[in-house]
Amino acid sequence: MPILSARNLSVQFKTGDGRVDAVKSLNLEISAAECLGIVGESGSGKSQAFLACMGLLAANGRASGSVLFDGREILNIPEKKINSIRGNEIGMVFQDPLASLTPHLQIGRQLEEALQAHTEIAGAESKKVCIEWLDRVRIPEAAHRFSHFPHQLSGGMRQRVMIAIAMICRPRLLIADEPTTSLDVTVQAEILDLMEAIGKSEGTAIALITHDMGVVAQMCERIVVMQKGEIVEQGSPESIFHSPGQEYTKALLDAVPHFDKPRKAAARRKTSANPVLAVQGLKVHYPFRRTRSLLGRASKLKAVDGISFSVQPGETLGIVGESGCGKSTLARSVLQLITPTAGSVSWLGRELAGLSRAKLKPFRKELQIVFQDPTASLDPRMTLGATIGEPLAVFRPGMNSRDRRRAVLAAMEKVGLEPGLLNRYPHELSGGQNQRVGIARAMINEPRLLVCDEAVSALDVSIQRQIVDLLKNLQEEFGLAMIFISHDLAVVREIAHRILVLYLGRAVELADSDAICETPLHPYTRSLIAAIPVPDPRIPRKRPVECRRGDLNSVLEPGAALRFLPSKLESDGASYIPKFLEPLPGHFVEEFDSIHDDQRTLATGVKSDSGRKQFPR
Amino acid sequence: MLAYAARRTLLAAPTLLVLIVLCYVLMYFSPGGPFTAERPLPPQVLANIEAKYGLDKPLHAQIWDYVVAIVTRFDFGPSFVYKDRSVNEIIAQGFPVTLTYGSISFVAATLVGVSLGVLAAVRHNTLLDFIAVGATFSAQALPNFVMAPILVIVFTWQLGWLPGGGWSGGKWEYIVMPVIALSTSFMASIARITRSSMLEVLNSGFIRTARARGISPAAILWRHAMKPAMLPVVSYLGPVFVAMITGSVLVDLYFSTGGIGLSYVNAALNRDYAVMLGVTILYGSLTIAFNLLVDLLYAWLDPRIRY
Repeated sequence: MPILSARNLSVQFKTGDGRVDAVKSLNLEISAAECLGIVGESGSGKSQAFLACMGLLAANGRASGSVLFDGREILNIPEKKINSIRGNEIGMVFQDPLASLTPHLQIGRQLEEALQAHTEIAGAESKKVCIEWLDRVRIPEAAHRFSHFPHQLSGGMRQRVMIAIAMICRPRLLIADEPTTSLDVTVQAEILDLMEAIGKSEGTAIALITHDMGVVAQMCERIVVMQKGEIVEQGSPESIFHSPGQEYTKALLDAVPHFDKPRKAAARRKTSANPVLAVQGLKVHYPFRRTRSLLGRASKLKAVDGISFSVQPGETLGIVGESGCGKSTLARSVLQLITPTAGSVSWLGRELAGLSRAKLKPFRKELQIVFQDPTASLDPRMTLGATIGEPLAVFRPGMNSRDRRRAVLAAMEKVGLEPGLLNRYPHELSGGQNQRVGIARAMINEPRLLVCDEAVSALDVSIQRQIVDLLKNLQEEFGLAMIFISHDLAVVREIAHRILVLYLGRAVELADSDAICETPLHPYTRSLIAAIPVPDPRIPRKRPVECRRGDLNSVLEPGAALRFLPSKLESDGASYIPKFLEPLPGHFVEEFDSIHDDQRTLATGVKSDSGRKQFPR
Repeated sequence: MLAYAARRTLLAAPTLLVLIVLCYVLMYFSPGGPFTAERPLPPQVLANIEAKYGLDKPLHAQIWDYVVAIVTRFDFGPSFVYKDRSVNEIIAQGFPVTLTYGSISFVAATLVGVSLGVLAAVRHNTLLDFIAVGATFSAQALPNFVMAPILVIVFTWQLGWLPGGGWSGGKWEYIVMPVIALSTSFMASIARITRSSMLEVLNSGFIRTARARGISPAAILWRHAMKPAMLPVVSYLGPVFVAMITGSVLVDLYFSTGGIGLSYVNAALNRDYAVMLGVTILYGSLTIAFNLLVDLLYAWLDPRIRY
C-alpha cells in the first residue's frame, strides 16, 4: 500500500489576473521507504502539490481532490488534525535554509519544539535527543551548537539542522523541496548523502522535489516529471535518463551540464599577446571587530588576498570557488566597485586602481557587470525599456529618444526578448527574462569586458543553459572578453577558456579549462570536481573527496591560507605565503604539500588520476 | 551588549553637552532678550538685571557657568519671569503630571494598538480585519487637538460623566480624557504598523517551516512571529513616547492639567529663556534615553543584531 497517494489533486490560486491552475488533477503515489524524485521547472506546480498535501498553501490557494496518507484523508482537514501529522509523520525540508529557520530562536529550541509538539519527551531527555540528532546530521560539536542561532551557522549546516528538525519525530515521509538549490556543489553532495543515509536507516520515504535532473539521477528509485501542473512522464531513473519519452524530459536532461562530456566554449579568437585586463597582486581587506569589549581591537578580514590574472581579448576566464571564497569581491574590486586595499588592475595598459569616480567613468562604458539575482538587480519602478536604455543616457547623452528606443529594441532582440516587453516591469517577468534584461543593459554600449557574477546561479537549469548559450553567442559576435564567476565548475567549463580556482581569497589553480577539469593538480580543485553530480543513474555518486573536510572554511581561522600546506604551517607559522608555481606550461597551481611528488609524476609522463590519488590531509 | 550599553551611555554625555551649548547659542543670538519689553527699561536698570543673572558676561563664560551649574549642582538657574522660582521647581511641578498621563497614554496606546494590529493580521481579510483597519484609519485622523474638544463636548457637556479639566492630584476621572485624547492617533499608527509587519512575518519562510513542524497556531504567533513583528513597532515607539511628552501642551491647554507642556509654551511667550532651555534639555535627554532603549530592545528582539 502506498504511504501517500494523491487522487485528482488540483490547486488553484486566486490572483489579481484571475484564476491560476497550479496543479491539475494530479495522481501520484509514494510507497513506504521509497525515494521519489519530482522534477520540473519553476512554476510546474511540483512544490504547490506537496504544500497542498501539508495544508500549507498561501491564503489565496485552494486545493481539491483527495490525498490519502497511510489510508487517512489529509487534504483540507482542520488545522488541529493536520498538526498531528505535520512534523510527526511527514517531515518537510525547504529550499532556503536561512529564511526557513526562525532567526531569534536557538536551533536547539527549534528542534525541541518539534519533539515536544508530538511526543511525551521533555526536559533533559529532550535536550539529549536533540543533541543526538544534531550529531546524526553531522554537525560538529553538537552540544555546543545547540544554543546557537541560525545566523551563526553556514548554509550547509542550517540545512542539516532543517533535516534534523524534519526527522526528529521519525516521520514516515520526508518531503524535501529543492533542499540543495541554494547551496554550493560540495555542500549539495554532502546534504544529498546525508538525506539518503538517514532515509535508509529510518526507513523513511523521501519525496525529493527539484528542477535539477543531476540531483535525482543517483538518489531516486523513481522519477516523476512535471510540467505546467501535470505529470508528463514517470518511471525508473534508467528509463527516464536513457530513453525519455517526452520532449520536455529530453529538454530538462539536455539542460544539465555534463561535466564529463562538456559542450565547447565559444571559439577563441586568435589573440594578440597583450591582455585586455591584467590584475596584479590584488588585495581587499576589511577591518572588523572580533571582540565585543568596550575597545575591541580591529583585525583584518582578507576577502581577497593577493590574486593575479589576466584576460585576453575575446577570452572567457572562469572564476570558481565556494561561497565566501571572495569571488564576488574580486569581481567588484576589479571593476573598482569596491576599492582594493592593494594591487594593480590595468585595463588596456592603463591603471584603474586609485582613479577617482569621475576619471573611472569613461572606463565604465567598456567594463560591465551582470549580477546574480536578476530581479533584485533591476529597479522595480523602471520599465525594461528604461532600464536597458539608461546606460545610453549616461554615455551617449546626445542621442535622441527615437534613436535610443531603436537601440534598446535592437539590444532586446540580441538577448532574445520580445519587443512587446518594452514597457513591462521586472516583477511581471520570469527570472530568466530578467537576467536577459540585465545582460541587455550591460551590452547596450558594446563593452569590451563583461563580468558575470553568478549570473546563472539563481536560475533553473534549463534557463541557465539558455543564458550560457546567449553569452557565448554574444561573445562570438562582439569578441568581448568575459569573466564568468560561479560556484559550479560544470557550468563554468561550458563557457570558459581558462579557469581560476579560488579558495579563501587566494588563487589555488589557474589553467586552461580542459586542463583544470581533466588533470586538476590542487586537492581543492579535485574536491570541487568530485562533488559535481553526474546526471547518469548508472554511475554511483562519488563521495566528496575527504581531504577538504573538517569545516575549516572561514578566512578568519588562523592559518586558513595554509590549509593544504600543513608542513609549512608547522615550520614557518601562519605568516608563510604559499608560492604560485607553474609545474606545466600555462598551468599554475598554489604550492601544496604533495606538489613535489606530483611534479615528479608529471615529469615522468604518467597522467595523474584525480579519482584515486590520495593526498595527505 | 553590556559593553555596548555602557559605550552608548558614555556617548550620551557629549551629545547632551552639544545640545546644551547649541540651545544656549541659539537663544543668545535670537533677537531681543529676556528683559525686552514693549516699554523699554532704562538702560541702567536693564544692565543691573542682566548683571544679576550673569547675562553681561561674554557668551563662552555664560555657557561655562550654565554647564558647570548643571553638572555640579544639577541647577538650571532661576526663572527669568517668576522671580522667586527656579527652573528646577517649575519642572518638578509640571513634569510629574505630564509623565503620569504621558506614561499611561503610552502604555494604553501600545497595548491596544499592538493587540488590535495582531488581531487584524491573524484574522487577515475577515470582517474583524476590515473593522480594525477602518477604525485605525479614522482614529489616525483624530490628533489630540481634535480629540480633546470632542471628548469635552461628549463626556462633560452632554453626558456630564467626567470633569472637563483640572488635575486634583491625579484622580482617575481627571486622567481619563487626557489619556484618550493623547493616545488615540498614536494607537492607530501603532495598530497599522503592527498589522502590516505581522502580516509580512506570518507570510515568511520560517513561519511556514514552523507550521510544517506541526506547532500550534498560538505557539507560532507568540514564539515565532511576535518578536520579529515587533521590530518596526519598537522603532516607532521610541519617538512616540517623546512625542507624547512634548506634544502634551495641547492637552494641558484643553484640560488645564498643569503639565510641563504649558509651562514650556508660556515660557516661550513670556521670554523666560531659562525655563525654555531647561525644558528643551529635558526633552533632549528623554529622546537620547529612548533611542538607546530602542536600540537595546532591538538586540533583544533579533539576535542577529550585535553591537
